[in-house]
Amino acid sequence: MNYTVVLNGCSRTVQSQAEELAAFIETNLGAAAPGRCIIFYSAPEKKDELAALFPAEYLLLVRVERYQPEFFLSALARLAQDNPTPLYLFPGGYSGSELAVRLACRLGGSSLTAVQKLEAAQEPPVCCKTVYSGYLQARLELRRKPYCLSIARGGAGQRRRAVKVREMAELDMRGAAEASFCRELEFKEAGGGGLEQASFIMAAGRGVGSKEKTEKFKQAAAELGAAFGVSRPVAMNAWAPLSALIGASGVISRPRLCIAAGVSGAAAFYAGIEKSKHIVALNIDEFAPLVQTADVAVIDDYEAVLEELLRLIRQERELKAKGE
Amino acid sequence: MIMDVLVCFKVVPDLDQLPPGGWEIDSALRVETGFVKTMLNPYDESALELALRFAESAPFPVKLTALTVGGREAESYLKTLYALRFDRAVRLESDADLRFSPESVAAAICAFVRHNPQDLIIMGRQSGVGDNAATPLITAEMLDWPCISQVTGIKIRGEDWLELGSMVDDGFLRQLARPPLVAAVGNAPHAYLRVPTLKERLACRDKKVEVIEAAIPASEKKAAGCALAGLAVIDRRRAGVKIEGANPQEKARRLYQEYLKGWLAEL
Repeated sequence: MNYTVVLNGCSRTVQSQAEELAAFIETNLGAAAPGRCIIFYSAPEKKDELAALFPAEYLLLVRVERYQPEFFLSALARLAQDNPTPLYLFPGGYSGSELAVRLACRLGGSSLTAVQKLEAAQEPPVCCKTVYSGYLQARLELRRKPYCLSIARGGAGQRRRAVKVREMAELDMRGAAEASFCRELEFKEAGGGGLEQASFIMAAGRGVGSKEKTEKFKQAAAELGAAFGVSRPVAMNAWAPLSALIGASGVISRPRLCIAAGVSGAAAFYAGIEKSKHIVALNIDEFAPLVQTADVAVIDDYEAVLEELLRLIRQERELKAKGE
Repeated sequence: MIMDVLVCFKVVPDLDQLPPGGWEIDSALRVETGFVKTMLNPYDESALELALRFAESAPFPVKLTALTVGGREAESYLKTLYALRFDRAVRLESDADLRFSPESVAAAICAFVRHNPQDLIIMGRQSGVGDNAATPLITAEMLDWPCISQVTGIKIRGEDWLELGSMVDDGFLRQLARPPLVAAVGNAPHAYLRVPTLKERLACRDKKVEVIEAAIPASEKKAAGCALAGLAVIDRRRAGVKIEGANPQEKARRLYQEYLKGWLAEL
């Protein structure tokens, strides 16, 4: 199936967007499937770097003033009219999902967000994605072309595509009037503490108990060299910044080790740690769902357990230091 | 000047309460959730609270309408919203299976808005049954309004502008926007819906929820872009080994010696 990939080059997540989409295409359509790539960007100095991110037969670079869905959508709708493809693929972040749904509306097609799998050879094509807050997996038939899909985040990434760019074009969409309804006042980078790339994560849940205890847990994570994350209730209580949020509505991580304390383990949170190689649950409640979805669990007061773990790890480090 | 603000919400089952073995999917791909308590979809709950704060801080009157599409399970929530000073509480009656048809829900909302003009629509970005993450976006497109997604806060700025905080892929954005627009609320910290006092509840006990038949296209199946073809429970269980010990310290030592020491060495 001929496809168009759309990347948001205004975001510093563009590289992971490109890698996840490349892997999705190889798995679901085959590496040789014919496609084109549209990259929106705002920083001209990054143009060459962006152009190399997702080699496709046809590559279009669209310069915009900043990320603004209205700019992107009007450009995409116009391009789709002139040169349509049956499938539009978007990355799994906020912008990808928004663009997929809205573009489908404009083109009269079908949209789905957070798609894990596409069976494109079927008629009609079928997508798999999690539903019911992540507890169930649905198979959904796509009814109307074009199909506008955003892929699920956190999929395996693929670094290099063995595709040659045959044609490259550029478009300047700066000064488009569509965004006159809004003006940007301030942008602050998220600074997520490297959660997405971390090999070791310590995550705090509501069971940690308070803002002060969450801060103490964060300090313990820093001492152990772990990235610090939290579940949604902790972020919603403002015990920790939103950038530390792990789960379906936050960061999807793939660490080698995740220690989760006071986390019940709702599926929406688990989506953010399920790719961990090892999961340890520290929880006072033996019936917390995370106890079953962890490799190992300690059913006890997390503070006492963590304190003893810190003592043991410090002791081990001291011994090693002496040995060296 | 009066500003009309519509807040759309959905009552959902608290799916985290379902035990791992408690998922029953019937042959029509419906899921039995009748035995767990219901709750406001968390993103919609934030939308309702943000709307109340917005109305309180506005220098001019704000007329707040709460709207849901669905059955009678929403009645008590709508009455609570009256007690919290919503001017209208409306239920668009429908018993259709709308789980995977955000187009139908958006169409019903848009039909209401066409008869009851609004300046601002606020709703949660997603709800945890269909997990479509599409209704506010489709609503905006159907009305030909702009949309700001992942909103975390809304304030009034002067007479013509709104100041919206929102999340984007790599950070946080603050922007000024002119209504009409749709605000799709995302992770908004500290935005739990307040609880009305008994006095507030009593003051509006005789107010009736407005029930209107939802204007959903004759065949919602035609409207939906996707059709559900299968549902399956995801089994995420791992070994779940419980570390035994007389006290937390002993359990920690066993956890460290038998598992963590090796796993930390792998890092």
